[in-house]
Amino acid sequence: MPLAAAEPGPPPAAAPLTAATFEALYRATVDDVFAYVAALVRDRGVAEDVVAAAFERAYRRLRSYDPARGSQRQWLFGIARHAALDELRRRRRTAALAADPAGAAPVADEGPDPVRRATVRAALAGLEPRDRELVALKFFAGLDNAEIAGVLGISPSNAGTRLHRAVHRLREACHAPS
Amino acid sequence: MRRPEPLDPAVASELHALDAALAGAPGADPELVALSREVRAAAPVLDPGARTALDARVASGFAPPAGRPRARRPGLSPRILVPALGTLAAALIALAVVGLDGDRSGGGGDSGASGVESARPAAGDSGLSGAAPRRERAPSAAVPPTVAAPSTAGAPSAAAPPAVGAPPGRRVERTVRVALGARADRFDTVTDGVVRTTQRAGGFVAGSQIGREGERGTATFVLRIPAARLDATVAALSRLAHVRSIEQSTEDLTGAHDGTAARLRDARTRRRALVAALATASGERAARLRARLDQASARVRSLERSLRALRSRTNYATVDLAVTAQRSSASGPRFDDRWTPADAWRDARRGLEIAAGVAIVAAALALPLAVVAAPAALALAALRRRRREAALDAV
Repeated sequence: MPLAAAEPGPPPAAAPLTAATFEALYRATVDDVFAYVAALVRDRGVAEDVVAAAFERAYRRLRSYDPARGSQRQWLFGIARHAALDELRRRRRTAALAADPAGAAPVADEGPDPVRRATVRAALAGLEPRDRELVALKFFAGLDNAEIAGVLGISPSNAGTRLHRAVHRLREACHAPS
Repeated sequence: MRRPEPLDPAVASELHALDAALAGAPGADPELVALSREVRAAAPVLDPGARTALDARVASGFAPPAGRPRARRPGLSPRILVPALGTLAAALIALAVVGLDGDRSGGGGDSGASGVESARPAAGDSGLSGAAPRRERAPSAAVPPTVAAPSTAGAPSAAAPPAVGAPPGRRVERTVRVALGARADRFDTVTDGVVRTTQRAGGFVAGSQIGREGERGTATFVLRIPAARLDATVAALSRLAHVRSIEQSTEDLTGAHDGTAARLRDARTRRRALVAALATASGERAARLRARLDQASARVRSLERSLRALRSRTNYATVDLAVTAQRSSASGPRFDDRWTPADAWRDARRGLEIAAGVAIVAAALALPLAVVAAPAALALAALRRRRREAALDAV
């Protein structure tokens, strides 16, 4: 399955997945999946391995995707979440920040206000893991509330309530004096 | 099913505002817009080298590295495992069906000779030439479905043709046990054919017992067949119905016969001597000789009876024949050497019945297992989910 020279768009969300359309899904989501997984495992090297494993697992399970049960992004992030949690279980890591994605690792955009940026990174790092996961799913992955609920296996209202609390805590942490 | 709780309106409103800020909608909360921008800017970015490597893996369909074939476990794939297990189960069912059918048709059970090897007759098998399991059209004659007492009426004397099949000069008693299976609607025809075949061979029915109840029936015959015609008669009997088993046994009576014959000669010689002595005796001596002559005559008669019995045993072979009525719908070929579409339909239906029976038994065995396994599987899934979620709390 060679990579196309032109950047193909993601397949329609409700279309069945095939080996041919998987590449488009990969290109459309790989950065978001990495950002989400890195926020979960908080180790860049581990995150790279987990992302690779997640995409391979998704590729092998293309037939398991059911459009009636959610979007392709929701399905893919669910697989990535399981892969990340399995890795966390295996390693029993406690998020040593030697390779904190919000630290020395490269980020999307350093921007014109490094102080503000550092504050946001610190606020993200200080969140509870479940809150940080919700923020990652919302801000990094761009999932809507129903998709987040599908990834986490909870009801949409529960997901909305949890997301609201997580954002509230993030905003408080951003405004807290350093 | 539990209905989802509605989202608090205030929470819903703030989430809408967040969505608007993330979408960059005009009029969105500036603080949320800034927060969205800052958080997104803090998103970790995949290392270009790792991205390139992952691109290559996706492009190759996650093929294993060159020179190291991927460790495939095709047996564990449900797409392969399920058909394989289904095929295996079907093969086991087929083997079971074939085994049951073989036991039913080959093993017999009506031969009444437990512990003795049974086998379908074949050409030349057991020395019974032409004993193929086929029948000829027997004349229709009603055999009363009653219990008949053993009969020896019409039994010829021992002066029958000598036995063949035995070495010259030897006296051999031959016994054959035959078990036939007939369709219920042909049961009477077959039992009548047994009698007629026996009579045609110059033999006689030494005993018979016929019982009939509905489609079930059993008939047993003790036939006495001239030894010279035993093979041909057994072959003719085998053609009357489906042969379920056939056995043959022999017993060499040459020693007993020759010994009895010699004793008889001695007894006759002694009697002749007594008769000659009696001709010249008188008085008390004549009375003693008469008494001894009576004893000698009794001895001669006894030995003659014994010799006749021995000759009867060797001149006539015994055929113990059992006929069992099978249900008309029972499987198995017709006895006229033709396999018609009706036979095929009957066989197919019987096969389906057996398969359904096996399936029912399997389901009966699997049901308790499923009752135990289903909650266990659910519990395992819940435990796995809980452990996976707990991993996040440990971060």
